[in-house]
Amino acid sequence: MNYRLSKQKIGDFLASLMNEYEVIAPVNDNSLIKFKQISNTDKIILDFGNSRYSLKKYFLPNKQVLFKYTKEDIQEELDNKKRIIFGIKPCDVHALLIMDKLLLGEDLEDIYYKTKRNNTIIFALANNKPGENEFSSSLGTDKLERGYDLLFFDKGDYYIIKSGSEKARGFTNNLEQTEEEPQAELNCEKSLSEEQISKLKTSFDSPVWKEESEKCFSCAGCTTTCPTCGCFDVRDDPNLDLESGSRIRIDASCQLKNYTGVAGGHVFREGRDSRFKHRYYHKLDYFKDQYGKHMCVGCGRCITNCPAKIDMTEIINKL
Amino acid sequence: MTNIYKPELLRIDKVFEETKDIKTIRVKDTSNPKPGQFYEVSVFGIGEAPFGSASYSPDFVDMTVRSVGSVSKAIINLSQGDKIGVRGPYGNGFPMDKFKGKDLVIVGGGTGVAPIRTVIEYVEKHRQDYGEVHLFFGFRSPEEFLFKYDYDRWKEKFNFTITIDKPYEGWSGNVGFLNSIIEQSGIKAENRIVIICGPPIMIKVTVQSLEKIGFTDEQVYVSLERMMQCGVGKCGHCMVGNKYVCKDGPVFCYKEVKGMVD
Ligand code: SF4
Ligand code: SF4
Repeated sequence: MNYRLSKQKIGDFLASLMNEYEVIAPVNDNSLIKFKQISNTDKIILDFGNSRYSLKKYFLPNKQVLFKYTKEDIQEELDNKKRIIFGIKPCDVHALLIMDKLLLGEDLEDIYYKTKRNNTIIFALANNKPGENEFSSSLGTDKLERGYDLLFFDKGDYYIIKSGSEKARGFTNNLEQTEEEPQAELNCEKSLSEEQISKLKTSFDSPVWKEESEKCFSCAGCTTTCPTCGCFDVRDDPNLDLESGSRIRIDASCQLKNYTGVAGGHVFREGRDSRFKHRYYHKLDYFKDQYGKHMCVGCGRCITNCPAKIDMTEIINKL
Repeated sequence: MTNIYKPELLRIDKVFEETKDIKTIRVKDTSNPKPGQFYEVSVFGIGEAPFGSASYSPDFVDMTVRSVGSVSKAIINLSQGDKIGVRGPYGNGFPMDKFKGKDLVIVGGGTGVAPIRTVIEYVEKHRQDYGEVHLFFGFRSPEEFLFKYDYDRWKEKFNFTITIDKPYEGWSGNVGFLNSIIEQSGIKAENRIVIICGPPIMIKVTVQSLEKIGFTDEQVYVSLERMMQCGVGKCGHCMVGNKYVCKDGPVFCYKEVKGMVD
């Protein structure tokens, strides 16, 4: 059983949830599509490829207080805000499922991520239009089987909505039911075949890494905007009394030299080529060894946001 | 829900002065780490850093700290009774069960002797499980010796060899790098396991010497040092190939590490 909602009513539908939830939706911000908290549904963009930046800040903020410390005590800070994200595309839902593997491992759960994850309702939007540089259709991350509470299919002037969780029931009570089974097809121009990706296994010493890394500025634009890059640093931010303060974590990037620097000065991935290569291997080889799937969902953001116009698909296709 | 990033506040119970820039701190803690495991230690306001355990005890944990980074410098300045944050133990530790029935060659260079001490203390408590035990310690000079207070005991129980890099006034013992001392010692490869902790270069040349004697990479175990932040396989920094040094290591069989490249 699916549900049907006229497109004209989507604004009212989301507005009715704003009392209880912070609603995040795609809006046009200085000609870039971004996900933002909205208080008014007029501004929502309904027909778009994908947002310029990923949604990871709602789950893993680029700066986050882990706890406050004093001389005697440690108080953790958890974000219990209830959120709905509307319009999240399948590849970005897959990105969350990947982050779950990393951060919700049985015995070593990241409770900051977990709390945000549990408090966030996912209203995904099935694909019909690829994002800039997207290649998710090659990786199978353009479709969703799970990971959503509601999944909206754009049918022109109405949506067919699939419900994907227990939690979703509360949202579908007042919706019209339908037997219509929706489909969505995505055709991305860019592609990256599994066969090509598997060449990484034998390409560690390929000259491609050195050659291509010469174009890279080590600016970390790619990792900053990637929905599955979650590396972080842990720092203390002391108050003026120097006895109390906050322990924070902030984004880190494997593209920066200090990422592998140890006390005493040695840097393990000193050469830009070794840092450049590490990202490709982590995304498309190591993570699969560790967790059984690729760490890249083909959203294309690392291509769009690279000032050197370095294209992941081109690089792997050169191997 | 337990919070993997939240340390426990512990008081420093004892401080042992080791050298001019190295101290061993002891905290009362019942986590009884496996040999080779490590902790994340916080000095609030400065930060957090990983430190290997240097003891094997159900009642306390010793950590040997050399003032190189900001956190270690801050720890060095603390005294008995001061509080630090501690979380752990983390990492795999040495597979001591796998070594049962073997003769052991335990090699430590510089501050690398700290994780080595956890192995020695473990062997002392499970002496019947292991055969002959050789200890080889190497330091730059006698001024750098760590755990001097243990040496007499270890000499009684094990074959204990200590060497310094260069001649030193008043020193009549071994002079020379660990690898050559090991080569000269006459030990044989048969039925032995080698455990090495120390700077990367020392590990490399020691393994070369061991190969000359006839040891294979499968017989050698090392503990790796990497940049770490979280200690639990989340922050990404310590990844080498498809392994996390914090979670899959820090102890690796040399055979695995040899192929591990950045
Ligand atoms: S590596 Fe690039 S394409 Fe893949 S998920 Fe990250 S940003 Fe998207
Ligand atoms: S965004 Fe492009 S230039 Fe910047 S670090 Fe990534 S690959 Fe290099």
